[in-house]
Amino acid sequence: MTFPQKHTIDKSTMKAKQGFKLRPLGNEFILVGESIEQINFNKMITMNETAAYLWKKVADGTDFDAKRLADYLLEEYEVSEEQALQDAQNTCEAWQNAGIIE
Amino acid sequence: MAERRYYRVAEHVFAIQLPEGCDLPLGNYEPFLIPEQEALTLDCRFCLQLTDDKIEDMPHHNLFTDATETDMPRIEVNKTDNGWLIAVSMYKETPTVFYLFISADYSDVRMHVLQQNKMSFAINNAAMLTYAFSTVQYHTLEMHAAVVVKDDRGYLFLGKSGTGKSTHARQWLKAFSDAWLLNDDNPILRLQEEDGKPVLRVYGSPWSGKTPCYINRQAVVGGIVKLDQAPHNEAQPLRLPEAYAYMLSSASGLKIDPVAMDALYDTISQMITLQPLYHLDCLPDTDAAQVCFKAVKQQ
Repeated sequence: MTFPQKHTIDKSTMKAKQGFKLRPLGNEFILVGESIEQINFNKMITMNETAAYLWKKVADGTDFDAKRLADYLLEEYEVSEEQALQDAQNTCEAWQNAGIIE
Repeated sequence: MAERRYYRVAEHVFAIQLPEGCDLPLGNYEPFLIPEQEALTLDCRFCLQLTDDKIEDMPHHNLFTDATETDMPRIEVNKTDNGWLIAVSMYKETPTVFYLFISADYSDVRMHVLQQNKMSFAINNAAMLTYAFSTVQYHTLEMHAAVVVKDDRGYLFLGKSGTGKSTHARQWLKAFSDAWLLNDDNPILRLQEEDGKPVLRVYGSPWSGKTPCYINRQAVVGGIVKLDQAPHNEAQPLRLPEAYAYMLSSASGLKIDPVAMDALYDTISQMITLQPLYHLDCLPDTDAAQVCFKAVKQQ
């Protein structure tokens, strides 16, 4: 697995694309494109509780970066700063690949 | 005086109103016909009226057009002030057969048919769409599926057009002498409560694709199986997200409407929690039916 260069993700801000709905399903969450904007978004993203927690924080479309997500993780979970940043970067990359942030 | 006929499908009552003297082929609805005096004591979900009014002239704006599957009707959804204006053609590139107006509260449902020689297609599709839209809030789904009944349990087979739903259903009829076809294309799934416990039932309907199978009976669901053609027969349980995706793509509904989507989500998530879905890789043979039944029955 390859990760983007650290600086590209640290410095650039991202935001959540609009028109998705996060819905609980069993002990997971799914993110589905349910609106006109996302009518052609023909896939469904599954999220665990942590990813769903992060998505809710940024779903309104406010700018964020990996550092901001890491801060959200530190607010809610007992993890090291290093681990939080790593998880945040992985999350950003996964979201980018899934096409749900821009 | 217009003539109004009442039908009951999966316990939901609706009416179709034809102009006087209009003799239309509604034979597929006959098994579901109920007397007017009985219907008037029950809630009626909608009354579909045939009209010569140019409903297509009412102000509207286009929301989206659903023409994903080539051999399925093209459905163009427009929003009006107080409802939806839907244009339907038989295939992706063919002209509009009828317009259907559905008011948001279902009190006004009218259709204007442009091609008189396609009256059956028009009435069936208008009734199916309105039925699906108006019943989803009652934990009811109109499915794109084939369903067989064996040992008093209904087994639904899901898949896109051409994946062999009907073919697989026929393998069950060959493999099990006591199995019978309840519906070949558009059964109704309904989540109900009996003695405080949730029960999932599948009902026959007046709509069954190319197969004339209009049976007014129901069964408790024994299994729901998503099919794919493969060089072997193998059944696997599906995880909830996949189950949800397959159920959603197989259910009719106004998926662009947030209210309808909430109802679809609510209904489907409860159904798949109660009734786990299976995936079946299958050949068109009776062994596929045996493998499928064995796997699903064990749950």
